[in-house]
Amino acid sequence: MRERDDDSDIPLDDIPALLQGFEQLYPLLRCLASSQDLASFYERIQILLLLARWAREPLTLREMNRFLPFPIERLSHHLSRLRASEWLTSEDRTYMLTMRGRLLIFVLRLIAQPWQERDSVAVITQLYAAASSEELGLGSERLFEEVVAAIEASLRRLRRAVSAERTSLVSQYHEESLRNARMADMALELRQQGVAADDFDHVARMHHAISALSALSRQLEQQHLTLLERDLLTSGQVALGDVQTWAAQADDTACAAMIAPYLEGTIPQPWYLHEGALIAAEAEVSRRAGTRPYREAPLPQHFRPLDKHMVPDTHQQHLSILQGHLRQRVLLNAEDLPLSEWVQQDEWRDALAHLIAALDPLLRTGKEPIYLHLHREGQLVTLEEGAAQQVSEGILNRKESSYVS
Amino acid sequence: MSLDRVTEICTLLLTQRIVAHHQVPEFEDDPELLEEVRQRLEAVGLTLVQRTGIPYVAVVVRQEAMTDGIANELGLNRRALALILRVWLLLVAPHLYAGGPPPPNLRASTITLETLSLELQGQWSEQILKMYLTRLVQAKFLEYVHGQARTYTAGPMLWLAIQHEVLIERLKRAAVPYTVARFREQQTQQEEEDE
Repeated sequence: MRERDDDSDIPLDDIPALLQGFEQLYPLLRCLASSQDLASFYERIQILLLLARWAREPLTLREMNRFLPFPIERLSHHLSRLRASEWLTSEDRTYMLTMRGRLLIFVLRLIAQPWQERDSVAVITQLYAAASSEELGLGSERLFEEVVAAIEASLRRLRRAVSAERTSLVSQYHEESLRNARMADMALELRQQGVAADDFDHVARMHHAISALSALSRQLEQQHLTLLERDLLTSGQVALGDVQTWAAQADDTACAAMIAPYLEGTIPQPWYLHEGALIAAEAEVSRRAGTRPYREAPLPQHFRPLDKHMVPDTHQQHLSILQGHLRQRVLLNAEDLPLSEWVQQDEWRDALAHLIAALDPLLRTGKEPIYLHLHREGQLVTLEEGAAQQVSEGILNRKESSYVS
Repeated sequence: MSLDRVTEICTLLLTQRIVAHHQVPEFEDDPELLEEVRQRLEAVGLTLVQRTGIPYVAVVVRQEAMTDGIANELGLNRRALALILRVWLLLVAPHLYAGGPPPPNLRASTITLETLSLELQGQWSEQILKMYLTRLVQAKFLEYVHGQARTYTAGPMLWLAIQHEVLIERLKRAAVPYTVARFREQQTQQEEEDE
């Protein structure tokens, strides 16, 4: 099949605005792809790949023919076409890739790799690494400057997006800001591996751009969430199931805070009354009320081993250590304290009994007096604050509400 | 209008906090009596609460009458409030969430102790849960279901003492991240199916 090398039938005058700048590529790519013979296209790519890999003296026609599996006449024809389209240099007898040729092969190599979606960081890394290795002959300084300028331009454009009202647009800009920040980080890291002495200006500009890009990204994320919330609420897409999922994930404090402002308070019933108030009322009625001065919480205690004569045996000493541990946890831990680990073993249960005897007087003082008793079944600690209040199932619970005398 | 009857109704409300419509049929027929009851309650910082579709009236403390001391005495603790929200979500919200009226039978939805325990993901012991459920029954937020052990239904206060509309709006705002997560999950699932 005869090649159709006449390029004049492709109109270049009427280029859409979106494609402006790309028109320079058309003559180049036409040279490769205008042939209706697919074999010719592969042969020209093979020629370019051979020249890209060739690291020794420039090749002549005959030398190239040794490496390529097609007749020398076809090779000569391809070389003249490639040279006319500026893929090859114009030396008389030898053939080398021009800058365009090197770039084309590099890009083709990039495309040929099994990229995953959103692999832009990897692409830019490859590109930058290749530039740094001077495979393309660009030089790392020039590429870094280009990356800095591109990031700065993107920053200027993204700044205008902060006031956008369309959720999908803001989301798109947010993703772009994240992607650009990753690219800038990567470029900076690669650049800093071989930074030149006079390049600090560019590095400083890049640092500044990354910092601004991060702040902008957070701003866009917030804007996106706000718009998303607006959209979801107005469109009624927040389902009861979503609310129930929220409730399943929320703890008691969050649930209580959610409903408290919208719950009407009604007339108190006896079971609402604070236990401390009840006991005080009862004491007043029975004329057993007395003034009891409560001090501030006791100062932290410093524990030290007791003298030998005060510790009759190692068992007692062990109990003392256990008492110390539990006491510290009771006094310092604001959350519920699981007791299962303490009551599952006889030795520890005994320790609890000893502990209560030692601890109880301390807990009775302070702003929130607590009374401790070991339950008769030995599995629980009964905790009292004023009126009897049993706390079970291995949870030693510091009372939430304050004592009312 | 009988002043004695007004006194009687006020006493009933103050002692019971909540009464069924059929106990005060005059509220339907005698607007003057209803107004007099309202005024007497308001004079002591209380409000008569009625809601469309709920066959009860309740008396609650007016917000402006709520001082620290009163709030402290009325206040349910953190766990009780959390439990009210959780049972409200299961028993009341399904009926009101989409903006519909309350169901004709307010006791139509029920819940068992086991379901609630699952809902709480074992964070509450059964004994603690039962204790708080008993409190909510005493406070008329819940009712026992006759003949079904460990089963509860919404009490009148769960319908009357909560500002449902504003609570639903606030809950929706809190749930937005979960809606977004659900959409993303659906999108991922769809993409996987397409592949």
